[in-house]
Amino acid sequence: MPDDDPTMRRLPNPARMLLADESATEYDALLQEYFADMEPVGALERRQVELILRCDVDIDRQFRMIAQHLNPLGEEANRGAQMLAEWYRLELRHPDAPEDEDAQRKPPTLTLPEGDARLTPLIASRYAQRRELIALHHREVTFAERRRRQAIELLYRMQDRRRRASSQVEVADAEVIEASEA
Amino acid sequence: MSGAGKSPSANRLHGAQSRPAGGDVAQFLAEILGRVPSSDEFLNPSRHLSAALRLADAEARLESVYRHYAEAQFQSRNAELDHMQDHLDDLLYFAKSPEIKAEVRLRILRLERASKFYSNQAKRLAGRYLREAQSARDRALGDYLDIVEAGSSN
Repeated sequence: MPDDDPTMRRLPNPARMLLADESATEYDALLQEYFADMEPVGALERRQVELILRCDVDIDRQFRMIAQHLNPLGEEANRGAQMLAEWYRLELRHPDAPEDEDAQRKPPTLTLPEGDARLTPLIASRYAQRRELIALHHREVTFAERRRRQAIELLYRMQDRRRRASSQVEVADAEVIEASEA
Repeated sequence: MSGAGKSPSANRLHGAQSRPAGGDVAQFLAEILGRVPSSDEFLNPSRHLSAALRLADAEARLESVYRHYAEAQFQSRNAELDHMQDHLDDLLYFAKSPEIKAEVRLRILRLERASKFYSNQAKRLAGRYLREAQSARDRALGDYLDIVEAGSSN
């Protein structure tokens, strides 16, 4: 079995599977906490702990996605409608309209008030527009939770096996000692 | 547009169904065994090495599928259909006939629905591939552990 160096070789390199809004440093710090909690021994158990962490990253990611889809100030979902709106705007624009009209039309940057119940209808409207997508993300949360449960179960089985094997070795050693004493 | 200029073969090479890179399998194998096996060992592999190799392959495949899965989560549109929508958008400005313009507008809106549909389908597929890869990896790990345990008890 492989060596038990706690500074795990980066396999996989987290930068290869984290997204742009996720930090590899935070991921590594979390991984170290998981190692401290679950006390894996050997590369296979460490890998198993990493897969558990990855399920948690997935769950968090899916909830972030859902929140983004429900953000009332989020990007407009209908790209085709935007294309047509822009075409209509240019078609209907007066020929003498000033060139910098587009710059004047840019809306000011808005920030959302936190916990404002007046946003609920807007959020509900976003939900109605994207309910299939949101249902898909909820489904992925369910699958990630199931993967997480299975991964934890597998880790415990591996640790049980390891403990059993080491206790057998101890028993065998004890017999040898007794035999030599006799 | 994000997917513009991407060749279809590139999608195939990096897709969830592609073979894992040989280097990744070798790295996982070294990690599992704790050493790099010699080339002679591969000529007549032991049960232990065969199981480790299967596990390394399953791990590398899981990594490749997981990357694809993570990327798919943030895509809410189909890049190729968006590319077609861009062409139709150009046509809207350059076509002379009002009938053609009306047809183009209709098709832009139809592509909108298709783009979301195929993007959601890609997400579902990525999730399915991940679950399959995870199951295959868990099976390979179980087999490997059985062989290690049988070897140590003998």
